[in-house]
Amino acid sequence: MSFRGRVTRPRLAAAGLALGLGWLVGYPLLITATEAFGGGAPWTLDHFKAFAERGDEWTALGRSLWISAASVVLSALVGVPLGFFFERTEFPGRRLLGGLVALPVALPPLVGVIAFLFLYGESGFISRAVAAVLGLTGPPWRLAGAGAILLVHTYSMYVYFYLFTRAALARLDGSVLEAAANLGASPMRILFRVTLPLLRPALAGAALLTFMTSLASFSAPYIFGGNFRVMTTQIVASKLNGDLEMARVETVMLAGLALLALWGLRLLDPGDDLAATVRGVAPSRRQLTRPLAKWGAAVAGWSLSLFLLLPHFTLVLVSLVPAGTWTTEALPPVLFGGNYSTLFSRPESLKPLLNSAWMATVATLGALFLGFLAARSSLRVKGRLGRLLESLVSLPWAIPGTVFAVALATTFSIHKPQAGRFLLIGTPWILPLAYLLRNLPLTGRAAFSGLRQLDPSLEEASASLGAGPWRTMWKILLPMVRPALAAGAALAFITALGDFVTSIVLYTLDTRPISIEILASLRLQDTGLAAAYGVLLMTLSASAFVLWGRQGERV
Amino acid sequence: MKDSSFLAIENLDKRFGSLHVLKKIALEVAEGEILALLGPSGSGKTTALRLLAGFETPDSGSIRVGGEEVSRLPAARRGFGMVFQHYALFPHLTVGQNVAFGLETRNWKEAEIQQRVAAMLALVDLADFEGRRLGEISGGQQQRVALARALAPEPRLLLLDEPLSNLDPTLRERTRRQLRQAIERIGITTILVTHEQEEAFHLGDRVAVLHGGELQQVGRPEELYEHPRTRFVASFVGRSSVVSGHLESVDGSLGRVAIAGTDCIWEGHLVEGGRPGDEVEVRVRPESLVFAAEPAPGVISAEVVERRYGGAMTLYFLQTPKCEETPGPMKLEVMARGNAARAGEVVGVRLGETGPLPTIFPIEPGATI
Amino acid sequence: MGKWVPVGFLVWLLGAVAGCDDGRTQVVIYSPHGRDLLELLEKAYEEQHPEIDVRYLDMGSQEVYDRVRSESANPQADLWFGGPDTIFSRGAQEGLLASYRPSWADSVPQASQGPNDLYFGLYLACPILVYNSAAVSDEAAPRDWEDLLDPAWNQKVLIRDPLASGTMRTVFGMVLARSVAETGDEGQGFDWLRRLDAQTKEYTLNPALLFEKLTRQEGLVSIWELTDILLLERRNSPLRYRFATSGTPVIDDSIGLVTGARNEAAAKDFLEWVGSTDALSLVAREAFRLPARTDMVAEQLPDWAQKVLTALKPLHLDQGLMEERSAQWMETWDREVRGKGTAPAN
Repeated sequence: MSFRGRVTRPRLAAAGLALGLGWLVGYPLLITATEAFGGGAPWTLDHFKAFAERGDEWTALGRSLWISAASVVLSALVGVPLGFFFERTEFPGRRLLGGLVALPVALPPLVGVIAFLFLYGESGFISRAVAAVLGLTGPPWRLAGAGAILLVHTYSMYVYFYLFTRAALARLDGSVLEAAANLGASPMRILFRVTLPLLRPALAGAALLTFMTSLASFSAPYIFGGNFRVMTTQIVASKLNGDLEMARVETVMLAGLALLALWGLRLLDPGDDLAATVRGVAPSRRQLTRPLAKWGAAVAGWSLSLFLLLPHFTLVLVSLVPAGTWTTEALPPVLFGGNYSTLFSRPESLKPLLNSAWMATVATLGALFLGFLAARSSLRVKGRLGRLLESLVSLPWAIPGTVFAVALATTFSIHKPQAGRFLLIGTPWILPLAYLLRNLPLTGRAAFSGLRQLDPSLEEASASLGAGPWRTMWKILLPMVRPALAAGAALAFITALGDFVTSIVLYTLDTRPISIEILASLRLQDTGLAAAYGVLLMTLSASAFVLWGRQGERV
Repeated sequence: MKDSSFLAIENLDKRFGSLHVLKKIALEVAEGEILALLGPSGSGKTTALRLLAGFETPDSGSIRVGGEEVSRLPAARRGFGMVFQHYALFPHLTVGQNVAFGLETRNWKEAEIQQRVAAMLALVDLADFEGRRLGEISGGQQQRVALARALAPEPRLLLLDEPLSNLDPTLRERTRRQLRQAIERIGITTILVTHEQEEAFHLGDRVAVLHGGELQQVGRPEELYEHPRTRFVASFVGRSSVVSGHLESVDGSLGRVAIAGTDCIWEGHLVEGGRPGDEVEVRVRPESLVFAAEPAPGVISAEVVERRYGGAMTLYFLQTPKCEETPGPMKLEVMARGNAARAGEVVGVRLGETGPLPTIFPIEPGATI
Repeated sequence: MGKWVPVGFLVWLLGAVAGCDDGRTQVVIYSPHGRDLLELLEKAYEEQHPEIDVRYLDMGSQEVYDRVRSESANPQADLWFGGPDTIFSRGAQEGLLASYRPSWADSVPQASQGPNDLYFGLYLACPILVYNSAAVSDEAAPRDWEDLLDPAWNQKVLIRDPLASGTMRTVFGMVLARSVAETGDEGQGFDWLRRLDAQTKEYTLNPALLFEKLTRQEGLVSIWELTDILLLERRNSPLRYRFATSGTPVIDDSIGLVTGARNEAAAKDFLEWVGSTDALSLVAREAFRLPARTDMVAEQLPDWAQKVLTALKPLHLDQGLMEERSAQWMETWDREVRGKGTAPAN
């Protein structure tokens, strides 16, 4: 009898978990893919042929690819220097501003884009100000097409690079940089030969996240794209036009593109272990001592943050404007709180807020639980089964939200228990489930990285003191990985709270979330009310951020 | 001909906020010499090293190497090699690439780099490790890679920051020997920071003791041990017993002390001077005390409270019965052969003739022994 | 202490969510009609039927179709309320609608009735020409569809993205159907649309953005539906409308019962009521909807409606052709016309 692959309780549990995750994450995608091939009745490549014959589809696919690649580059160009600036330089107000700079992540979808319209659109503040300064009669630019999409993408996604860079810099061993200087390397050389290579895993992670997010991005191309179509808007157009077959093929092609990109990024970053040596201390921040430099940095930091928060302020302003009163004036002539009183006085209007809150909470707790369980299980059994669990947890990351939602909707729209398909569409459970699965990578990755950093002897120490596996998990592991989990949970919560792409496919009357209500208000020409919802959403997201900060500090 | 002040540090001063970490340090190191900076944590030794390396800038003072003032030069232009406490090897590079790093920054030719890397790795006994990744080699090997990397660009000065503290004791002993050999073979001027006396004594030609940001004493190990010039050096370097008494007579730098509660008169070095009749404290090394076979004048009777067996020599902790002239029992440490006494036994002890002379310090006002 | 805050929040949330169900029979309506109308109807109906809880989801008319279709395995809606009959016709073909003939059905013209009593026209939607009166005088404003191609409006035309809008689909359909009727194919119609595309500054995502941009004078003229402009006028908007002189392609805004409705009886009752003269005159007064019923007497209608009904010159379109080709036309337009417009050769 061989001891390899022996059936043990942890292995059984891991296998069960993998099966469950495979059913929830992999199976729906498989079903969507097979339906694009005719669902086996009979198998056909006709739909793909139709796709291949249309030039505009290839153009859209190509645009999705280059827009995402360009978003990665631009976000990195903004986010990485910002990360360096806030992590490596000490100046008055650094802590506060460093937090504010991350706030674009809390700008809700849809209304965030609307805020951009009010700022940089043809009749926006900034455009009008620039036109006034330059003495132009017309608007200085048009907020449309690829440029506008890239602007919005860069604005909302540089945060990934910013946060990842800061975290990685804080973890860096400072003496490594000193060693390079000691060996005669110039600051530029240290940056390119030592610092950046050491940040590579973090940067690769941020690049992947940015790429996938912009590949899945819908609001910006939808509102600014016009006839500049990318894959996500193409899917919606096909669906709206009733061409389900084409929508399916487009979905599969987009998912294929995402997986291809994932594979490509893996090739670029084999992910070898860079933490092989003894750990040192993080490099100290550069103290700016000359008053000019110090206050210069502070002024730069403040104005930068102010600039980055402009869309947030705009949203607040718009939420205070009564419908139809703001026309050609530079600033709204009348302000009132009516949108908020409408919102709070009608139970029907408050419901979406509650819906989003409970669904995001349930989904986040579920994702935390599943993510932690999967991470723990994977790290215990290791080997192929462990790796399978890890990729299952990460898979939803690589799948654009629209694709995932459509896949869930397809799979759970019929009741066929023998095929593992249950009727969930139209029930209140489908949306929280979708949020949960979409956010699994966030909590799962957090759990993986948290558990990996733990000293294995802690667990052994606990066992040697007579604690069983559950007690060890509850009393030792969970508290130790809490900061990492809190970070993942905060992001997951914010994402679920503001989710639009998944919700639009799966919401029901009883689970109508905020983003859908914003869409409805916009449809009803009630921009003010939409902005008021946006402001509430922003406030909730920001509170989640603050709570997370507290969690991190306590440990 | 060797320059006796190849490295000259003058008036080096550094504050971090309200913390005065280095107070007007002055030091000279000869070319090819190994100087160990010894001190407890917080003594300022690491700051001194970082000032030398150029990672911090001094508030005042100068650092001259071969006559050139370097204290304002950025680290990258000083041409010093450094081995870090945690090695600070570049985890994304191989062993060979790590060693080559400093050569590439100095624009060496590819062929020369290869040659030099091979030579350096051979020097530290890692000849075939060039292509290895850091995760594949042991801690001791990493330490040697760090040394090879620091030495490869032919630095003017080698700085070692607690180079052995991450190794286990057996490995430490061996690595220390290899380190000393490698440095000697190259003949490079070296500054070593350590908090371990044994390491400082073994590696350093001279040892500089730092305490509270002040340079206490610089000298060869035997000078420090036999002629400590401050109370701190006497207590930090090596073991000693402290007893009180008063000065009977003074003869130049020597003094004779009547030890309180006994009839002993011990002769020792007067470190800070003194006049007959002064109350003093006397520090005596354990090997300077010997067991006496029977009671006699100058023999102190005491009980063995602990025996610490150490192979070649054993350390005995003795305690005298209480007496009125001293506030507490006198505690003595005696180094002798392993079978000289048993725990619990009452023995006689006297000052021997072969060990270092005791040192005599004035009693600090308000201090009790 | 701090750790009980989230727990308390959860408990409060669960309580709040659980408190929403009050045991009344629900009628669930999917509708593009917007909050103004739906709330009005909800209140009026619930006053008469306290045991019924009318609930609605408002969304675009294409979205209603899409949603009813994707929920067909587990229908959530009872009534499909609103949208052009072309979309209803597609829904009927796919079995998404159930037969039910309300008592008022006979008062609706035969052409406005769906096959097998699956849906019925309830209101009339009128595509009209829209302009911003703050920037364009009444004299200068376009009078007919053709006038939109005038060089004066080059890059001043804003159009709601027609893929997601039943109204715009109908207008574009009108252009193409006319072309088929006059020349036998769509060529001339697509040429016209291409010229309109060249005039068009932007296809806006939704009506809100359309009105926002018109109001802020990013564009000056547009095509839209009468009701919204009347509602805006009531809210002091500078936007005004005009019927096209060559005729208006009137759209039957329909209603139908969803297949597998969970509260069928209540839904039928609501359908019956919403087509009653009382309900129709209420929405005409309060929400600017024109009734499709032809048996309403003048006293039952407000002044504006009587004026509109007199000014309205309905254009008769080949409904069958439009229903059959609409999807194909829009796909072709999306691929070959959008953004590729050509200025008229002169």
